[in-house]
Amino acid sequence: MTHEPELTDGLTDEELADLARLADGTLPAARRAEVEARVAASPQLSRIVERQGIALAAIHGTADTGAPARLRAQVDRRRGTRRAPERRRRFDLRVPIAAAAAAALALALVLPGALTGGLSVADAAALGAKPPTQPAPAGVPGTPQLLGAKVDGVPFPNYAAKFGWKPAGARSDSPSDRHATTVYYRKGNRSISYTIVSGHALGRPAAANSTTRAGVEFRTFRDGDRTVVTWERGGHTCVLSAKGVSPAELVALADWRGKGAIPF
Amino acid sequence: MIDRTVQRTLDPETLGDHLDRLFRAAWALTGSREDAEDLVQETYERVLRRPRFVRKDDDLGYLFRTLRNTYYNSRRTASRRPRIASDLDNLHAASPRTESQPEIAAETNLVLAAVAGLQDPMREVLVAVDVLGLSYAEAGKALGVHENTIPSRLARARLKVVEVLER
Repeated sequence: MTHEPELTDGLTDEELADLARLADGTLPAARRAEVEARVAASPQLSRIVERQGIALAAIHGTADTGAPARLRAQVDRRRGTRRAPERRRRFDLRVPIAAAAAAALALALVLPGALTGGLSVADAAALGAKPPTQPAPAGVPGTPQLLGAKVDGVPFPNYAAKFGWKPAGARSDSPSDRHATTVYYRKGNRSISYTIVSGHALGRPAAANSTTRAGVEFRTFRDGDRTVVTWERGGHTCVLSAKGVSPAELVALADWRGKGAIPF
Repeated sequence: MIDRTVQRTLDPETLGDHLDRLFRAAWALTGSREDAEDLVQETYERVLRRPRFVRKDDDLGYLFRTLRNTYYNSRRTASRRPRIASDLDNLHAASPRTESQPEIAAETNLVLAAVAGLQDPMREVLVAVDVLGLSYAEAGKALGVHENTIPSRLARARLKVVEVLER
């Protein structure tokens, strides 16, 4: 027989769902103020949210535990016996190079992600809408503009001192044969997600507004209820996305160079 | 109806990328580092047995579904409950990262054992979202439940974990 914890007595599933979402940052921005007000007015709700945070911190704290080397070796061996089937050649090699190049160009115009392994900037931005799974990266000692996390040598900025956006978590994904790391920043009841994708830059979104600052092009667009800005640093695609944050604010963050400490 | 146009072959080359998270998920399901190792190995063997087709970017969700099915199949076969906690004195570090930090290994064991002690519905949701990092929608799909049932269940699961950790 199940025994409902006393702490949740009198709460509906919807109310509990709001508290879970508030704690892990997935509560829609439009509802955040209302839910936070209810939490602030209720010791019971405050206690639940606090304990949601304790659980999340404990679970994210396990992220340093990796698979044993023996297991990794076994899996690698097993993978070695089954490689992905080679892609069927799409066109006869005798086709003139010019025609192939023209076809590739046409494809790139229609499908920005087609020449980048199928991953698009919108796909990368979607990672930012997922919850963090790892603790926030720490700052770099002696370089307050940077966090310790990086992708292919491209470090994440530390917005805390300059802008008040504090690192709040991180996650790693492997979309379409790439590696992508996302760092989450919180400021009050708002959050932003900063994703850097490994490998060469993704195709630039066509339907986007373009702004160029100090030689770097920033493209902004809407993806559902999120504002997205994308640009390149060190040949890698960076994506900042958020709900309830203006494109101008996102571009200002994206363009911040921390007095030269943040490599572009 | 399955839309074949958005499916692709699961690439074995990328499966190793998910190994760490899947291992922690297996540990949280079984409550035992050793059982987790066996479970993940069996899961990868199943997946690699023949080409698999997944929706775009659903590799982790697919692996979790397979892990979960493998877990329940083996549990049914063994007709036993998962072991909840290992002896802290006999803790083995899971990776070189934790080998040099036994206190982290001990904490990991305590936390994942607390998760493993939850009732199945709460444990699965917590593993899918908080351990693996699936979105609510992905977790709902992986677990065969509506997305809307995920967060309230997750809230209860988190509260239970804290309760156990405080004992």
